[in-house]
Amino acid sequence: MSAPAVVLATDDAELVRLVRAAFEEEAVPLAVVAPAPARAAAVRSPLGIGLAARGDRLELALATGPDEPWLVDDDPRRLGRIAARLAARRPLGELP
Amino acid sequence: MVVAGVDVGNATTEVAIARLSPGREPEFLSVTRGPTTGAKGSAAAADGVLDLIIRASRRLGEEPSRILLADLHPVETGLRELAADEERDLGGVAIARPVSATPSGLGAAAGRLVDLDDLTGDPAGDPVIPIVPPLDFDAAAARLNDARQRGWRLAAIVVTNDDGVLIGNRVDRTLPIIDEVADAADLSRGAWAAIEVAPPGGVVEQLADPLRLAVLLALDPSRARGARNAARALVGHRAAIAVRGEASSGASHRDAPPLATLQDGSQVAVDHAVAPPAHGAVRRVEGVDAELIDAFWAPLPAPDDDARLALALHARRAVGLAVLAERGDRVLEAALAERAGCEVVVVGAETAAAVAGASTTPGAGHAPIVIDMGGGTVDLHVGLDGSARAVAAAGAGHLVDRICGAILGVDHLRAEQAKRLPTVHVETPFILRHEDGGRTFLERPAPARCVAHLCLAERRDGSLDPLEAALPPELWARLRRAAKRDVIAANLRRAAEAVGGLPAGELAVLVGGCAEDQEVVDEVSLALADLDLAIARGDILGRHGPRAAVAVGLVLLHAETA
Repeated sequence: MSAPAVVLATDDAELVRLVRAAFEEEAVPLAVVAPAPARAAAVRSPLGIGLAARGDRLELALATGPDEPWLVDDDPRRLGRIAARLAARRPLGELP
Repeated sequence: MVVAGVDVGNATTEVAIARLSPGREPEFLSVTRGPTTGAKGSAAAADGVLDLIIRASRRLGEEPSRILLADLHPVETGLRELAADEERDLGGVAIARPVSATPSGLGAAAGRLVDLDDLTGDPAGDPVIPIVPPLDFDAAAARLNDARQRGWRLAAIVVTNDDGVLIGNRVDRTLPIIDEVADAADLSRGAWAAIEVAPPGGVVEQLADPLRLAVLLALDPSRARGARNAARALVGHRAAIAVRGEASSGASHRDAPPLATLQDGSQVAVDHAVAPPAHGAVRRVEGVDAELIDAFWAPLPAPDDDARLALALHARRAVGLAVLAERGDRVLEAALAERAGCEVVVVGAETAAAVAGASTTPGAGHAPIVIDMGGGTVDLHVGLDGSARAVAAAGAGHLVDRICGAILGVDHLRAEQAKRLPTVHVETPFILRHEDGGRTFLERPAPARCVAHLCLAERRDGSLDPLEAALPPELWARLRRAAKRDVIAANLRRAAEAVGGLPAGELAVLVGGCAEDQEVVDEVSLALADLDLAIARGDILGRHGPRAAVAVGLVLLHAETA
């Protein structure tokens, strides 16, 4: 993957819809790939930011730094917005 | 005999405990400091003094039998903004500035404000600006598209949620749409309004132009001038809305600044555009119930390379004021004598004590120039050729705090940290940009609340404290230094004029809390650069840095006479 995008690793259509809405609002590209851990999604992302579901929560991981997720949220739209703003280098707003 | 020299400052109380023996130099046993409790010179300030003395006494195993004080004069500092937005008469034009960084569309348009529910009926003749309540963006877009198909002319859209781009993409990407308008409920339905969205990185131009704003709002020429305050309030924003209301004068509601009465009976305004008078010239200031020794004021600094920010700061008409008052009572002395159960002696002026304390700096001897920069005053003492002159000028560290706080929008306690701590911009969770443009790469990610924010960076542990002000660290650092220059360096120049100038080529020792701040030392050095002075930081008793000069000096002065 070479186009600048945050990577969401899931096959959950409703999750994709909610996260995609957040990215559309922030005008940040999002790529959706097959389910994988958030860290693996982050490593695939040219922006170094990955999202993936774990149980009923969404995880945001970074390609650099510790393996564990940077943020975890049960509100996909909110965490999607945070990931998009992180990519756009804007203040993240409300946090989980 | 064990004595306690006590310096009750406006911010910090310092206590030097020493043993005095006939024919011997004082033996200093302890130097401690803590926050001043209550106003300087008040009975409440005794709490902080006694706390420090009790703790030191426990550690030393003996108590002082005499407390030594300087002749205290309290300083009050404050900051007043004469032109906060809400205090202005906006010429009958209401304004709102959405917080969202993601409006939709581009350009300016005008129409009548209506609720989304109003679009169910027959189309109105005028273009309209629907207000979308908290609602799913797909549902809202469907209703807006339906209304358009039935003949409604949508000029622009106001969205309550952060859904502007989502709705724009589903309705019309060219329509100006502002979102995250928290006070949408307050917008007057049926009123004529104008909305503008600037391109990314840009700012509104039409709504910030009073004539263009008047045209968009269909104001008659007599009201166009009155719209200038509304236009001014929208300068620098990427998206905005202005709403026409009832006509008003449009005259700036210019609160009159307080007046300062000078020694000769004349008056000057305590205003951001008026330079403060010479040291000691002000006798009274409106709203301050005291006879004054000195008054000093300073405006918010104006960055010379950022006209937009300079204009915004200037428009606030903010002025920080410090007044040094005469003190007609001795309540602190009485409270200490009663509660400590020991003798309380007023040894002399703070400036004289500072000189004595500064002389304990290794290598300093009796420096001819001692500059004590504390929380409330800049005290200057010049002793040369057997004569000594000293002045205390109102306005020092606390006034810098007030100005920094006004720029950053934080209280004075946080401003005090912002004054002395470096800042960084957290570009990503792993990259910090410093005030000099350099980068630091973190091993562990910064907290999410810090990302894309200007943050105070604690020197000891590297922890970050995010600020809301959208200032790059390079610019904030220039404003912070300007505040120190405008207050402390400028006040030192006033003090120098008051003592008839400073002798060139001599040694000047800096003491007091502000002397710990290298930026202040730099600004003072620059202010005095023409005099070729040897400017050195004090190191009281060779181990306390520039702090505690007055407390130690009181002991030394008392030992000379006791």
